[in-house]
Amino acid sequence: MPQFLIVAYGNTLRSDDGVAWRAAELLRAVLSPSVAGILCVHQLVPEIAENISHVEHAIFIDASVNGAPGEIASTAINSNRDWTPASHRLSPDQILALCKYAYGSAPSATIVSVAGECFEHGEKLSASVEVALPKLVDTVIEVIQRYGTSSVKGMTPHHAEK
Amino acid sequence: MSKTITIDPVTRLEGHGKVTIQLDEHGEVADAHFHVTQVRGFEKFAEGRPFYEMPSLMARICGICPVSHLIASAKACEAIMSVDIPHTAAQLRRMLNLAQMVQSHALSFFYLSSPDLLLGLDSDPANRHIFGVAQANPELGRAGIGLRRFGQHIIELLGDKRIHPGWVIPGGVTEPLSSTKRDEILGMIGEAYSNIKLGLNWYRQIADQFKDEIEIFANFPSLYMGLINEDESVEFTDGALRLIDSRGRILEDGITATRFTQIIGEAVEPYSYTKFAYYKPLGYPEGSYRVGPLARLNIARSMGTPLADIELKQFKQLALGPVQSSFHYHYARIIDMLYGIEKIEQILTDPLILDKHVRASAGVNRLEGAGQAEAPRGTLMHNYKVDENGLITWANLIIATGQNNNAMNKGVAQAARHYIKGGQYTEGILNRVEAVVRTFDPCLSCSTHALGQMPLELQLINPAGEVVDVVRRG
Repeated sequence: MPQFLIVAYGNTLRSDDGVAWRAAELLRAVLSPSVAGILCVHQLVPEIAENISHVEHAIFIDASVNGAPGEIASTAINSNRDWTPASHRLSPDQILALCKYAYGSAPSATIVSVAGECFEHGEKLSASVEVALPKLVDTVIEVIQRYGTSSVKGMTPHHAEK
Repeated sequence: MSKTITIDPVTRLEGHGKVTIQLDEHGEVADAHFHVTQVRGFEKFAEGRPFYEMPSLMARICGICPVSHLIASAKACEAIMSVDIPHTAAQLRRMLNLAQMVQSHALSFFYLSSPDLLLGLDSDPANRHIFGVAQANPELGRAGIGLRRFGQHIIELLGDKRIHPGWVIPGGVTEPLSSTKRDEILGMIGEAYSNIKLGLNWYRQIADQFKDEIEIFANFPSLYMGLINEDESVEFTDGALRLIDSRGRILEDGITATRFTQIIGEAVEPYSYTKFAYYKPLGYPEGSYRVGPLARLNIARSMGTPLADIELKQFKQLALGPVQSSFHYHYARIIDMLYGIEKIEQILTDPLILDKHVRASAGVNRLEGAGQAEAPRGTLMHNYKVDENGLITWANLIIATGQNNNAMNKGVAQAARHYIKGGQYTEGILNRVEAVVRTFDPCLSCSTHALGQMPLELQLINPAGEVVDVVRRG
């Protein structure tokens, strides 16, 4: 079982909202499945609580509507925040809370996000988000190095196991 | 002074609807209606499209049960093509449809309805959702999550996507099953059995606490319809329809999709965008009937799988004839899931399941075709007409929710009359009225569902149309 699970979520038909899927493609090329599992989904659903219950650290990659286009943010989250049941969507900390309730404990987790510029219909990223993509991938790898065991810490961005 | 109580939207449904309860001058319930407030325009904008595009187009109607639309649509197209699909393709479709049924029922029972059953219909609405279930009974929460994952993962393995897989096409499926995928699905069966048995045992323990609701939740005689095999066992994908009356007597048997279009009519009521299906020989509303888990078990002599057959015997003991209370949809839904897991295991041991012949091909050989299948919540029918070039000139869909529409409305009125006295009501009473609708698991927009509490506004309106009181939650 890998130590990490990367949950890349967003709508690939909504321009920059699909950036997490693009990042996941790049991460698959540099990360061994024995280190990190990668899950691409359109939205967070309760079943993801089961997926993250098996790992030590979960990384959620998402596009953000906040910040200057292309700006990367990395935020540690935990399962302690009180959840508010939403109608049709869940947040990463709600997934962590559900994981804790149903499976007894939840992993530590990080949200890595990039501020989007365009969320209209389309399958291409805006120029600012396209440019930010390598840095987004590097940020995810840095999180893995920060929380990983010694063998994982030895990886360098773009020069990991593969 | 008469008043109207409005529950808008009804929570924990797939889609958006509302309930209005009309009170008379004494505060007693004069009438009640369940309104579907969304418009579905798929039949109209399908016109002009090539018929072979219809399965993937029509599947977009629904994010919960796209597989049922894929299958009913593909079968309607195959009627236009005049082809029988290969045995292996039929078996693979059957497995896909059953996987969808399991995941959809897991959503309905564990995510949307079990909060009422576990925490109580009068419990704090802030806790009535899957989070509250997982907190109060982690094992039950895990079982629900596990069963939903089980169904969704099979759909993903077969069709490459959990939602809107494009694998089912007119003539069969695009690709055969690999031995690797077969073995992966077989490897998931054991855990699925554990989860459904846990859910079943839990339901058996708590069902007796709801005797009052069993009496009141859409408990009345009606007709029932569903797909059935020649040996009178439950079927979801092929077979033919059987229609029985409230005493269990067969009114129609061996109903093909073409015959369905001849004997089932659709009535319109001014308060809902969803039509009201009825059996034409009896007229509307006398010919209204119920479909879905309760109906499937009422019309069948057996499930066709060993464990589900044991449960069917228990189910049949709930009444001398057909089981009439819609509260028992919950139990029937669990038996459906058990059957689905058993049947998927059986299908995977079919010696031809890895056969490479999974697709028949043909052009337009008829100018009209109809196809039917069981969606999780009941019978679904697609009917298309095409021109000589295979372009759609007319389409009609009769969905399960429309076939249950009259029963849902009668059920809402029955519960409202029982619980609301002298114009007095509580949140728990409103939740009971909503819970009647939830037993049917209606799919309103066929694309969305609510996990927890949604904003609800209840209005008291006087005969002049003035709002005299408003209660909001959420």
